[in-house]
Amino acid sequence: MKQALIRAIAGILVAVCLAAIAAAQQIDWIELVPAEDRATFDPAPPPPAHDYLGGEAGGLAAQQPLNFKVNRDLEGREIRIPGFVVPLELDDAGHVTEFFLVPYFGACIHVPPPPPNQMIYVIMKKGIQLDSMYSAYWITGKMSAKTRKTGLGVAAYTLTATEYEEYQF
Amino acid sequence: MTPLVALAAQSLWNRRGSAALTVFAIAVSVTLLVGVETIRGGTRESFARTISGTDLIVGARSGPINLLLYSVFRVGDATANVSWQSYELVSRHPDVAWTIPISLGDSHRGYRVMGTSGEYFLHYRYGDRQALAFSAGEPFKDAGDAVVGADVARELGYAAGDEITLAHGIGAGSFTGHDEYPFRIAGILAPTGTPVDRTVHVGLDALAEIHEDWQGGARTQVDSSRHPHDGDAPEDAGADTATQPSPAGITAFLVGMRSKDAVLQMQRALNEFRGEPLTAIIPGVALQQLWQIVGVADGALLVIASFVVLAGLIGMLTAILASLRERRREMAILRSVGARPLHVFTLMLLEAALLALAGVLVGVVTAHAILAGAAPVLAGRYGLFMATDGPRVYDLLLAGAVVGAALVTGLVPAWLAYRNSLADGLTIRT
Repeated sequence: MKQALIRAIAGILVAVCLAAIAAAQQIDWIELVPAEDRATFDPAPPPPAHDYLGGEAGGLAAQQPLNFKVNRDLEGREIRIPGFVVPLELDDAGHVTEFFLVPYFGACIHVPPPPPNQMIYVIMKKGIQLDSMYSAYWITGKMSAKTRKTGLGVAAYTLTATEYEEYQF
Repeated sequence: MTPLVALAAQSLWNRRGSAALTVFAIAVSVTLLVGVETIRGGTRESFARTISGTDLIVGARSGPINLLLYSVFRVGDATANVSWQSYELVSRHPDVAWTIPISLGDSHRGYRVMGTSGEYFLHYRYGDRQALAFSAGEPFKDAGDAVVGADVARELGYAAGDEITLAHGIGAGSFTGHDEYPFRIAGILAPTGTPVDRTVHVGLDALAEIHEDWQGGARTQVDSSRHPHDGDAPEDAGADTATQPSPAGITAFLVGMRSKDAVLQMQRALNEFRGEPLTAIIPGVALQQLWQIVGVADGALLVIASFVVLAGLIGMLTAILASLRERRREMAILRSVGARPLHVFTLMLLEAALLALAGVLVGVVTAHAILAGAAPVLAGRYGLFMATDGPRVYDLLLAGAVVGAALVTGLVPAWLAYRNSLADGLTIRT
């Protein structure tokens, strides 16, 4: 009787875990691009551009093409995606609680930033203990794909993350 | 059990000389361990807490860490200024929500003076997006007002309404003063545990004004009509309110974007800006880079401290082991009054535990006394803000770990004494 109960509980636990894993669908960066645009999408970093501010600040907006679209199918989905972390906010313990998740390292320094639909703004309450900015991480959470228009272009994805795991190359 | 504890304590008291030395050795190692751990926690926390809610920090072309250090931690100096035109260009950009200009370089009795605008009190955030609060007074209104941080007010005994003067350059005793431009303390900020506490804030226009007469690093003339409190010079008073004198340059500025999405593009644009060589950094990234450098050193410190604790425990082991031989008679007497070998074992273990407990207690107290004494120096010189509110839960964990390690170490003499007392019985074979 007792053993049966334990077995039942264990079974439920396994089922719950499997369900949680199944719910967070693993996706690739290309899936952030709407299906109709994927054929023409070039995953290489955008070419370097110079002097966006040139004279008047208006020049800044011009460099960012405004025709990037988000994949609406991802709205509200539980996903798991690997990427590099660009820290924005830290909590008291030094854990990163807000960051950009980007597909290639140094997206903010050496090459121009990725297009808006190749960048995810992540909010993670418990935070990532970031040992090195050169490490990549799997981030799991709920995706929001709402278009927000700014003077610098449109953007895109917000992920409310719950779990992270270091990516093994 | 209780009689055994008393017995162990009395036995130690009987050998108080060597016991005190053992306690001292453990206390020193625990002091080091607790000190290192508190400083590690403090650095991590004060690093992470210092700035929040700011999307970009912009300064003249330099390294990201240097820019972060001088603009936020008030450590080190800028290599060059940012022109006012560039600042205006960015602040007028449609995606920019707010900008805070920062002008550094002067000091007041050892505290850095920061020229800024009223935006600072509205938009600057630290910790978990906490805004600056006033414990007295209000933000500065005109060019003669200053707002001081909590530490400045406390250590120099300032209250709202007091008059102060600034000194040119940095250092406690600067001899080229700006005596002819006194400032009135308009407000005192509530403590933040960040470098803001140790800063004197004045208006950017006031800072520009007091340096107006300075040419080639020295004052060329003293024009008393520019005195910020000279309300009776009508054209001057008009200039203060209508067209604020725009400074030629500022040291750095903080930027808040309307939307986080534009942060990377804006950073890129500023770093590539042809009009002037600028560096724009994301505070979170720079903090992380800085932490990766400092983190290595503090990891090494922990390893060293752990080894010192190990050495302390080995010292205790040696002391107890050395005493075993001379205490065979003591054990025999104990056996003769009815102590079992297990009692002897427990007695030796308790002895180790008592030594470790005393050492840990002395060590934790000493560490916190030293930290409390050193906190102002650490804050003033290195910008590290320690929690000096006494031992914390983490210290108890450390203490527990040391006592635990002592118990494990104590098993060795306890086992030896147990075996001896079994073999010796009531008579000592020598």
